[in-house]
Amino acid sequence: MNCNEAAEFISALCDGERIPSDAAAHVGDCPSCQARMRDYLAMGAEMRRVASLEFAEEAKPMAWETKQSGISTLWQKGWETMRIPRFAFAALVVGIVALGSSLAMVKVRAHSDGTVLMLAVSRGSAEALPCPLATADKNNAQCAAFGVMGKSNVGYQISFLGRDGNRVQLGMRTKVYSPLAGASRAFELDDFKAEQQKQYWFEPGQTLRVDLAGGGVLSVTGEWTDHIPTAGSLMGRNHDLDPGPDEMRIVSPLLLRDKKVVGDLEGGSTLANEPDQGVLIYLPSEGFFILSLQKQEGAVEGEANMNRISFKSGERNYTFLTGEPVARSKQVWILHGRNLDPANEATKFGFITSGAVNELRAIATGKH
Amino acid sequence: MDDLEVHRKTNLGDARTFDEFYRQTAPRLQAFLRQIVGSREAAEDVAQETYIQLWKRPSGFQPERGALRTYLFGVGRKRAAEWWRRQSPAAEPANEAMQPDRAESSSVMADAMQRLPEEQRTLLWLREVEGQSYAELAEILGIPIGTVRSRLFAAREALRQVWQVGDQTSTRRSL
Repeated sequence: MNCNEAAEFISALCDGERIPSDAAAHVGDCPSCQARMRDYLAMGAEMRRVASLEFAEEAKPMAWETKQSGISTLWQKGWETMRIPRFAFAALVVGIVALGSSLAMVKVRAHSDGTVLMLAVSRGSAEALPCPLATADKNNAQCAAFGVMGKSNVGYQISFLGRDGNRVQLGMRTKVYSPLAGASRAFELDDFKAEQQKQYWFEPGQTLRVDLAGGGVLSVTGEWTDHIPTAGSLMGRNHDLDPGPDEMRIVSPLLLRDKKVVGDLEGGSTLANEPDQGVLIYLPSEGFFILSLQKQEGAVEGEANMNRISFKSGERNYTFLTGEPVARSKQVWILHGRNLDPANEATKFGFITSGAVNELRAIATGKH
Repeated sequence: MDDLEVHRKTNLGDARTFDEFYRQTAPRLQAFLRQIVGSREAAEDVAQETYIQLWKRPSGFQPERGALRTYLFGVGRKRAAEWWRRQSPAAEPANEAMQPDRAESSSVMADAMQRLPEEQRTLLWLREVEGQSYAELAEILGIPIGTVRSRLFAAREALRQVWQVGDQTSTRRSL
């Protein structure tokens, strides 16, 4: 064996590999090969020395965005697959989706061991929206809402990132949409992905103010509770099941036609709470439904009974089942149309929204 | 905490466990990536992309194929290759030596390493600094295990040539 033949084995020897005996014998007797081995070993040592200097640097802190499931899964089912026409978005009072397991929210003492941080997010003069964040359940550690604020459409997504005693680290993404005008636009939870997440340390009792850069200021307060409340109480209104005098609540609606399920907007919820307002529900297979407590032209009369609305359209019997009592009044008016205005991008997707009935009719029919 | 535990908890969305893994491994990954992309800033960016990928898609790691750290460096290397492609359509880092960044190079060895083709730099760094086995190197680089030994030899020999020249130059400068 000569030096050239032995060279590769010298490299292997430096790696702790076993080499053939003739190669080992040659290296043992050859000053040149021994010099090569010393060089290889010295190079390795020098590389490790240089590397050690770099390892001294600490990694920059990173925030790991909580994976979307639980509340946001419901949202995705209810909203992400929906596309809300731009015009509808303008009329949107509020949309919020969340999941709960019990009827009553039990407040616990400040500085307590509560595991749910119940945030209230105020948007200007509008009523605060609740945002429950579970600190011990990753599946329920995120909330999001979209709506009108002043002259802008805004959306926000709040995530629980960590807890240090009574303090909580929140991750927040916000988006201010361009002013509304003319054509329809899609509106999705995915919109937040392009927005930078800002992190805040928040302590119940404090008020966190988040500037939306042209879209106003969100004020966030919060308190500890022992569980996530029901979807109904997340409508931003009363914490009981009794609807207000002009209120129509539609929570996660399911539509039956002749006792067969023909539509499901699981997780999609909305609230109409002014006399002239109503709710627009669109299901691609069935068309649109505008529900109101006031009589509207061309609408049929239906009956609201607890959490269901029954009515007849053509020869078909329809029933909406919802997550909680719909209205105080038993009398509900429903305008049913087969075809949504094709100008809306939403024609392939179901959606739910609320607003002035005349605006909802314009959205649905394209006739202003 | 062992690889399987880290992987299991990451799958469950345990950000604290993943952050601990990140803090433990990121300095080494960034140092490795710097060998490929050349600058500290770019290495940080690529490392962040790598960890975000692991966090979002932990199922890409298959324990039966090797250690989590091996997988991490493999993903990092692929991300670094993508980074190069984003820089310039003509960039071909795999077969070209980099221009040493004098501002960031602090030793003859660092300079010498930068004069090697990317694969040789990667191979030597993973072997000498990270102590990866031949099997792990084969996994990271996507080459047959039998090829690892010959490529390591070629890399050492190439480094020896440029290192010795650089060392002599450095010695002459200091005289």
